[in-house]
Amino acid sequence: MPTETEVNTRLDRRERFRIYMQKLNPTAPAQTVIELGLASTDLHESLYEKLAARADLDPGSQQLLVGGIGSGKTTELLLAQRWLNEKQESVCLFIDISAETDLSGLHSGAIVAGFGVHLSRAFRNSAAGKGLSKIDSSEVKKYTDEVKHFAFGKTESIWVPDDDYPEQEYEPDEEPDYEPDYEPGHYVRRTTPGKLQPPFPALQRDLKEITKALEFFISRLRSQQLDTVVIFDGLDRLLTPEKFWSVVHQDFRALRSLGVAVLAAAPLSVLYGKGRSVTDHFDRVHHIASVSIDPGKTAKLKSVLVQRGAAELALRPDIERIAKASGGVLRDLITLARDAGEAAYLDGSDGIKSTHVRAAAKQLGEGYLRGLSAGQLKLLRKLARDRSIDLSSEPAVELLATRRILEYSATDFRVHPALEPLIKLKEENA
Amino acid sequence: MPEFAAQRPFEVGRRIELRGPSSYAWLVVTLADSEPEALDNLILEIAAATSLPFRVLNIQDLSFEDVQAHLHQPDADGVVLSGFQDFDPPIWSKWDVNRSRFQRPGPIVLLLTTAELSRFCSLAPNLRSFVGGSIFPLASSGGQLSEAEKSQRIQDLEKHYGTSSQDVIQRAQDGILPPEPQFVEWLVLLGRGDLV
Repeated sequence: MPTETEVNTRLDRRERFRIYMQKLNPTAPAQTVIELGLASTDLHESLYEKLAARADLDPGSQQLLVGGIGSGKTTELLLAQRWLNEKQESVCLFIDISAETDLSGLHSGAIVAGFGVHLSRAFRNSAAGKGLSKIDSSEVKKYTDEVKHFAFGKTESIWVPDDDYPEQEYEPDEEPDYEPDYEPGHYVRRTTPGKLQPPFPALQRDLKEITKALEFFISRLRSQQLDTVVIFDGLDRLLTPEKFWSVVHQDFRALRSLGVAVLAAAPLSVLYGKGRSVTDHFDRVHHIASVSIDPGKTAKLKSVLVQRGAAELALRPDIERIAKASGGVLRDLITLARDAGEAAYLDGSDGIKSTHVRAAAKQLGEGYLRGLSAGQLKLLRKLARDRSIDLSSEPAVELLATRRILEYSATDFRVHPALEPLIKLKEENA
Repeated sequence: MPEFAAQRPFEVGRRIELRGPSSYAWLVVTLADSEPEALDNLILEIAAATSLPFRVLNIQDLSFEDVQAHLHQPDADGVVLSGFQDFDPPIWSKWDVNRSRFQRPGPIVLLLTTAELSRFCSLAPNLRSFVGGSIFPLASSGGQLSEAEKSQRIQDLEKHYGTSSQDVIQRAQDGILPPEPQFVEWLVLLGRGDLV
């Protein structure tokens, strides 16, 4: 049986690994990561400052933040929000639209509805919403209700006179000997659906009607020298440009007319092929490319790992291996570091070794490999061999959007390094 | 499915345990179609390894909103989601784009067949990104060790810790057995999961 000292040593080991796992958690909410001081603010050249500064200087501007899955878009958007909040010159709303409504059935009006709900709430919590006169309070309530009804729908009782119905073919034997002293009719319950409950057809007229309520809040905030900025996260999950554009185009037009600055996450596919036409509608499109993993250029990725405590368990060569296997994708970087740590712990090792990194990279690569069609594999093999790919084809863009292909620059596309050896192996075994 | 590293249920449990109780973790465990009894074993061993309450949520007859509600009431326990056999591309897509709605501190384990895993990896890239490399086929026999494998593992533990299984049971009964996962595994192997 182990001595007390030996048990303590083992518990220390468990504690060390536990702390490591908590800091290198790829699924922790981005807000938590920022609050814990674990987010790397310069991984993408302080992109959040550029986003925030433009929104700050140019009310009504609309910017897209484009990047593949797991590239760190949410972190950049949250950092932009923090930057704007620190300046105290605007009310900055952060809306994860998929948390508000069903993105797969999202329709025109839903984005404005989500914005309205957040705006009216922010207004009531702001200095502009405090100490209001009775008249002002009544106006705030009126417009708040309008926004709520627009977003969530309403049910009301309406009077329907019987005259509105076609006459029944009914002939009583005798005429009634009294005259009713009220208009014949009855109440019915009428429900108007809200915009946050899909699916409903696009109704641009509704959008125009709700802008009056939104304008009320925005102008009141402006009278306090506060501009309105809204950040929409989650829209990048609409992977095709068609889906993305069908959801945003009417709503973003309405927001522009209100002078609201918009920052929105968008799918990578808007940068390629027919998706390019979408970007024409925005003032600026920022692209988060994969971070370089070329020899001598992995310092940024390694610093992310070190900032999160990777050096507690891994030596420099293994941190370098993790960085390279990630392909420069932020979430994959964190995932690999966590999984290598997990492998080391289960292996009984006190630290991460190259075998653990290899095992973690293989697992990640297998996840990318699984579910690929023969046609997709062919495309990936061609890219691995020739280092070129035709991005006007939808299958290629899909591989890019799902991170099997990574983009490092406008001319540098590669197969994800965790996947590449596996597709070669699969070809050899075929 | 030989490509992913096969794991025993207890090892999956140790991974979850190491990530901590509020890890927001997503994992996939794959089972062969013919091994439904392995689910019971999976839950038993994960629960033994993690000290987290775990429940199985069969989603087959639940709406998306129902699943969301179940995951958030409560949201700190572990949940094994099963019943994906009727998932067609639109349903996977709906789950994928609405990923945020499932975010919860407690771990989520998706129990998939190999065919369902392929559809998951193909149709739900946002969720797959959350899962990352945490895709584990259960080792043969649904992760249950044969008697010979159990004996060998117990012998390995006795040798490693330099003590007998009887002594481990005695210490567990006296409440002085360290809480390390290996000791929990040891007790489970001895059929004394009641002492965990």
